[in-house]
Amino acid sequence: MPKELEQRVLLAQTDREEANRLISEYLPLIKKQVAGLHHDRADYDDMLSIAMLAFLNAIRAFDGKRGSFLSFAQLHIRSRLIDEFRKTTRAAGNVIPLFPDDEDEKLVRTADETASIKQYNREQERSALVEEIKLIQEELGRHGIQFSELGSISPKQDRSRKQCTLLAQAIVSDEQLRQDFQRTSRIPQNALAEKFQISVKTIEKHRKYILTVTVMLLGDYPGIRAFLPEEVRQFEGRSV
Amino acid sequence: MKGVVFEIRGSQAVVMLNGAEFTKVPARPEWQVGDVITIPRKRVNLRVLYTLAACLVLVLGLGFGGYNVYFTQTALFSMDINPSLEFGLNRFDRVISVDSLNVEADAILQSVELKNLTYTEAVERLVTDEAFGAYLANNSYMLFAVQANDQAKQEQLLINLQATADAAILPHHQNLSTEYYAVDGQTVESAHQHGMTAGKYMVLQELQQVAPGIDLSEYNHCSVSEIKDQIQRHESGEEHDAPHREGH
Repeated sequence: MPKELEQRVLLAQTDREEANRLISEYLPLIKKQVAGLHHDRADYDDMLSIAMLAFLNAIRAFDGKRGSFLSFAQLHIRSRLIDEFRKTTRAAGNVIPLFPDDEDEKLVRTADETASIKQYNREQERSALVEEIKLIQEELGRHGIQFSELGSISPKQDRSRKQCTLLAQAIVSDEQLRQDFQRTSRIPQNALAEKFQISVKTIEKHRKYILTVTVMLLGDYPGIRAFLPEEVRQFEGRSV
Repeated sequence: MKGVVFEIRGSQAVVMLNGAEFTKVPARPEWQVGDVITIPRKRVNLRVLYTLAACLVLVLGLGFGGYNVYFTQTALFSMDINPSLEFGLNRFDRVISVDSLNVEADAILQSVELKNLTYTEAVERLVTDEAFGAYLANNSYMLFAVQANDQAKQEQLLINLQATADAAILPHHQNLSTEYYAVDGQTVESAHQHGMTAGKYMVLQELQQVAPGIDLSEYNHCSVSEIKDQIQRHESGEEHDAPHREGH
């Protein structure tokens, strides 16, 4: 029901929780945009992050007068992806055939597109992320974690990070674990160890990192969510 | 790989990379908090690289004698702070290969060209690079490890590296300590199997002696200063169990 979607989009402009829900619901559509690209498979994650940010930007930029939000968002995503592709490949010329067989793209993408519009979109994107980063910093500060230590607490192996992310997701999705965490501000190590058959020592080793990801999942940070592991990007958090 | 700048303090930036991996890198002047940036990530499979290099040497040796000699590796040395770099040298003491073993080193190699320089020139160019200098300023330890089949060559390399590096680094970074290891081919091979340089492998062996239960690969991306700190903590009894880096 298009009208209802447009109303939700307008609400999401001031309600991050609603923005988060929209991104989760329309993630398959966003993924479809990325899947249609010519790109190196290794870049897929990065392109998906950019596309999610662009969708969020489209939510913020939509004024309800431009027809269907989905068409608007689709154009927004394509514009951003083309911009990113152009930057990374340093392609010359007016038309970048990023999307195969797409006549609309040729109409939209020219080198004459005003730099000011691009700059405005980038500024919007950055200021949205700055807002989320500030909130995350405050929340992590309440748990005694500073940004300066994130580099050292972050597990370096993909396997360990994924495991920690799944543990964080488990905390957020289980009502009892979530309530325990919100009440005590502590990772429920024993409960997680029992549930996932992992040693408490392993969980303790990565306690601060698990806590960091838990904070990111619990809060409404749709921009930052675009950079979380793909397993949790569609996950809808709960507000702290 | 894409990432978001979370914080910039001085010359260092905390970045969240795609997949929620956090890392500290030298901050570029144009960066701001909230920027979506690209950090190059080059994964080098050293086994494949050396196999290819060996094949290349063999093929070239059949028909291009002089060319073959130039590209034959006769020694290597590594530098570790937390950028971890490994240099292959030919018989003319020139750099014929430079490998980065972590994201920090990837970023460094984007801005500095080191191939075909003599090893002393390469070290001097690297330590005067602005991005690399940030690591020198913010760390306490730097390691060099040298390997050559010819022992006399190995000794000469060690002496010259020490003279060059200390002369270039220590006057500007009094808080930095440099350490030098002479290693054999077996040690280099073992280090590569763990995805690290011989220098880092040696210092992790020291850590393993005081903390026998550790998994070396978990420390692969720690800086040398962080590993040294762990060693001191274990030696002083502050750490009893398998170490964890957050220290609480």
